[in-house]
Amino acid sequence: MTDEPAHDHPRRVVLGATCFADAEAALGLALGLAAQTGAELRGLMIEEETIIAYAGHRRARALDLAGRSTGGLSVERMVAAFRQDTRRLEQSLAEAARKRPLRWSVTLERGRMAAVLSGAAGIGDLILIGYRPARPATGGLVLVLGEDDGRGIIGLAGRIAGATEQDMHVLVPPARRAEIAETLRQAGLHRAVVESYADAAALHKRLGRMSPAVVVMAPGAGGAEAAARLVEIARAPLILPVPAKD
Amino acid sequence: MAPKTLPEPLAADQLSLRIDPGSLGFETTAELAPLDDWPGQDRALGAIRMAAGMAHPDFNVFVLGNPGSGRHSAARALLRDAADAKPVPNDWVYVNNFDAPHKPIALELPPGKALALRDAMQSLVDELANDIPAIFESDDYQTKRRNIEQTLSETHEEAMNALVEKARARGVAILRTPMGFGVAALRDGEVLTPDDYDKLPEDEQEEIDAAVAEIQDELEAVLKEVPRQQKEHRRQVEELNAMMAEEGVDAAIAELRRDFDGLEKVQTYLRAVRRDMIENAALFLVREESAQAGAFPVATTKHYQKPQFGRYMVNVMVAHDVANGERAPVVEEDLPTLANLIGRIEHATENGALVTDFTMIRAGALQRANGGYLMLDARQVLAEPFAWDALKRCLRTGEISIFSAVERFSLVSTVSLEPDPIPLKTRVVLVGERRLYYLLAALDPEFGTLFKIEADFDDRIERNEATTGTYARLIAGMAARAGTRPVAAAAVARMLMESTRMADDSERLSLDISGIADLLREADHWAAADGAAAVAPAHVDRAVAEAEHRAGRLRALSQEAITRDTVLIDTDGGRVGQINALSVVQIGKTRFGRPARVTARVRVGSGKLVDIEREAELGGPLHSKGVMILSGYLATHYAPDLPMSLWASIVFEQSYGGVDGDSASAAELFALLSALSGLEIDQSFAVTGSVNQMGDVQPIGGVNEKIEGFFDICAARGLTGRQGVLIPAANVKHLALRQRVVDAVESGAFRILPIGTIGAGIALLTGAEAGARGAEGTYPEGSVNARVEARLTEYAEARRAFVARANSREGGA
Repeated sequence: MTDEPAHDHPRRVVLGATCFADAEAALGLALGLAAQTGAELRGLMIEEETIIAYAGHRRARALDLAGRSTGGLSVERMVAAFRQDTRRLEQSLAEAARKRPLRWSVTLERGRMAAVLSGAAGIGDLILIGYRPARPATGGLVLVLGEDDGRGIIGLAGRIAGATEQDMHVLVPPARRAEIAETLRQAGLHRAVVESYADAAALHKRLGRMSPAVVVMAPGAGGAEAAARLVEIARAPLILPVPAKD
Repeated sequence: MAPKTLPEPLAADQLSLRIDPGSLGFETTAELAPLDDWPGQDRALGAIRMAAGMAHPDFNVFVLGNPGSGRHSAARALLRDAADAKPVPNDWVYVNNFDAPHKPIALELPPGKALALRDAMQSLVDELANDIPAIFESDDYQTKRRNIEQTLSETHEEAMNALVEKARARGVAILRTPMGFGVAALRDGEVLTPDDYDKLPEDEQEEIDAAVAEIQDELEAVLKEVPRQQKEHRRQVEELNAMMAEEGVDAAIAELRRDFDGLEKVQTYLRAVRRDMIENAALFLVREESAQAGAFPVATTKHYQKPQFGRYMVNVMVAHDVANGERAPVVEEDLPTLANLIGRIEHATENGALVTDFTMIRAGALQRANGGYLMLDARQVLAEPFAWDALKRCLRTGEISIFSAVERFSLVSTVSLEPDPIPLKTRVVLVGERRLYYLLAALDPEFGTLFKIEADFDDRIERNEATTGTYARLIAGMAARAGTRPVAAAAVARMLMESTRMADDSERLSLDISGIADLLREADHWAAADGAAAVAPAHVDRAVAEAEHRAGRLRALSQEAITRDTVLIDTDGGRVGQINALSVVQIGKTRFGRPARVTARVRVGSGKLVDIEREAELGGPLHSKGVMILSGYLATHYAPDLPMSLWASIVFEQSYGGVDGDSASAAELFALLSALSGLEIDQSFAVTGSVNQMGDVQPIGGVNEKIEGFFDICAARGLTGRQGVLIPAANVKHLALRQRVVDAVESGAFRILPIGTIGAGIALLTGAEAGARGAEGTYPEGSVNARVEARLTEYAEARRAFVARANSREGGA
């Protein structure tokens, strides 16, 4: 079982997103985690390479959340948009810091999301990938466990669920169902619902239909790459603790 | 020649009232039943009772009379009696008009029900503040709410899932960028770069373009569905909320509806409350920042005090406490400003603007007195801006409409209210001075229409055996209410004497109740100083003397000016054309008499009688009239066949402050007759009285003060036994002289002589007979009138000769 004592006191909460809308949707959660743990909050606007590449296509266009076209794209316009979203994230964190004690920083980095996140987050950090859903989140908090994740991550998920007044769903490999159910009971998380998933495809299919408010992904369920994938599938913000050691 | 008959001096017992204490029938007022009535005011009291009992509007009352006559206390007592016999009027409240909040609704409720409605609405809010959150936290609601949201989510999720699957199948990815959603082609799981795209064959490019376009179109369609879905979601949630809220509100409001069954307007209001509570159920879900109440759990909270529930509150304007036996109201407003009279609408400051609502309407005196009586002081109402106008408007329209002076001038444009006017059923009683009543009656055309009843309080009552007894009981009542010592019969007699003095008439008793009460209390003070068990006549004397002393500074100064010969007044000897007239000075509470020298000068002229006071603009119209009457007297009594060839001037010597009234016209005529006849006037006398053209001496006012004013000068110089005052015979009944004068008359040191005609007076003053015209048309030789006529004839002859000479000189030239 992975040793996970650092979840209680992460060094930093790294909030990453490829646009301000996604970052803003998870900002409240990020601030809550930073306040609860005393961690520094690092905002990370990711200038995703695939997006820059897409913007270079002569027929590329974008749609806003209401389905309206925002006009033709270009690399220059997209780069400018990333910078503008970075400034908006800075303003939001500065505003938040005026209202409460907060150590914070914001950077803009180009690359692939998973790689940037992996490079930016260190041991003991919490990665929070932002996502702005287009529909109400009714699925509560979903905890995705792997083969060998332990009590630490369950405790973290339980605290977040309690703080945000969410129901908790736990998705586990079938072999661990009974064990996790007992762990949840011992942790006082009697109302958490445990479900098993056979494989990644089944996990993706189930997650795609749950409309969670937030996903907590245990390191044992995958790294940053898998986390970025789950964000797209769950269409919800995702929390990924960086383990203290492999 | 000595006069044949002269008026006799008055005896001492004619100079003031004498009552035998033994005739009163009691030892002290402690034996008497106090009088709780207002003697001599039947006319006024009857008017007030009639107005109080009348059902018709417009018969409001103006109670007029002198201050101290008991107007306020009488009106108050009679209105209270009348109010006790009337039913308790209904209560009034203002409530919110949910459709037009700037037009609050007035509700009329049975007496005692206003507070019940207010309390019931507060309880309703408190109950729903607990029930509605519980309803929305219930498993039933949460389940239904989740179902709605899940349905929406599932619809969207299914569409997005399908789109994502389709996109993957078509080799396309949906990207989230700072500029929105993008659809990009994939090659080997990676986004196709522009360079790699350009390297592809044209047909592949077309295929990729078609796939991107297809997914883009479908993405656009899915995204465009979201607002519609959200709108539908909101609609379903609102519908669910309304349905859940309706159950809770109906259950809570049912009891209220039963309690106010039969009151249609209240039921209408409650239906509006129900509708509004259902529509705004979210108000009951507002959670404040938790400020803990301390160690104790907050089991109950006055939710109705929270700002969001102000819309459901009941503003009680008038509430009657039927349970404690309250009857119809009698309201006295002693500061009748516009707002205090008709009510006001208060404002509060919010973000720099003035705001208000129906809870900030405040009742005025008219609302509080509705169904009963309202007593106001007329002068105060007239002195307050807009108050009189507003009062008349309310009485005229039969409604109480609230407005402010600021609104009237449109000085401030701000949010304000137009509350329902409340019907007015109040009898208004104005109390004021006579002068105000007559001014209003003359100058305000609405006054007579709105105040049809006058209750005229008399200031004196005829003195007889019955009224004397009643007056004694009045004094007994005053003593009881003021807590003074009992008043001995002799002191009551002394007070009755003083009452005639206050009435300026020995045959009348003053109804200045407040003045008599003050005298009693001051006498009681001196009785206390003496350690007496009852108030005695000496204490009343002391009270009178002390009061006169306190107010006597100006009188003393005036007297000093005469005794020190700064103002020249003779009190013995004789002089032609000079006489002592008498005047009264009234300054504040001080009233005293003083002599003034009047002189007359004559010569030949053209009939002009010069009133120097009038010429110097120091004489008032009444004085001028008096002097003009002298011309008429002279013209008709002397040398009627000759043109009046007199030039005469009359003046009040050393008078610089203005003179009015005709009470010195007799003295002026005597001075003139002395000047014309050449006979000296005895300066031992002073004269008061007005004269008419027939030569009758007419009564005047202030006769007591005038006599005492001259007496005090003579007494200060030493009474000679010759001195006295000539007064009009008609003023004898008004005499109520101070004891010092009475004592001097009794000892023969001073005289009061009543005269009815100029002839009687001139005979006393000159020692010569006045003279009556004989059958041959002449006055007796040596008489005053003969001398006057001879002088005037002489002037006529001189004037005729002068004119003839003048004419002959002109003719010769």
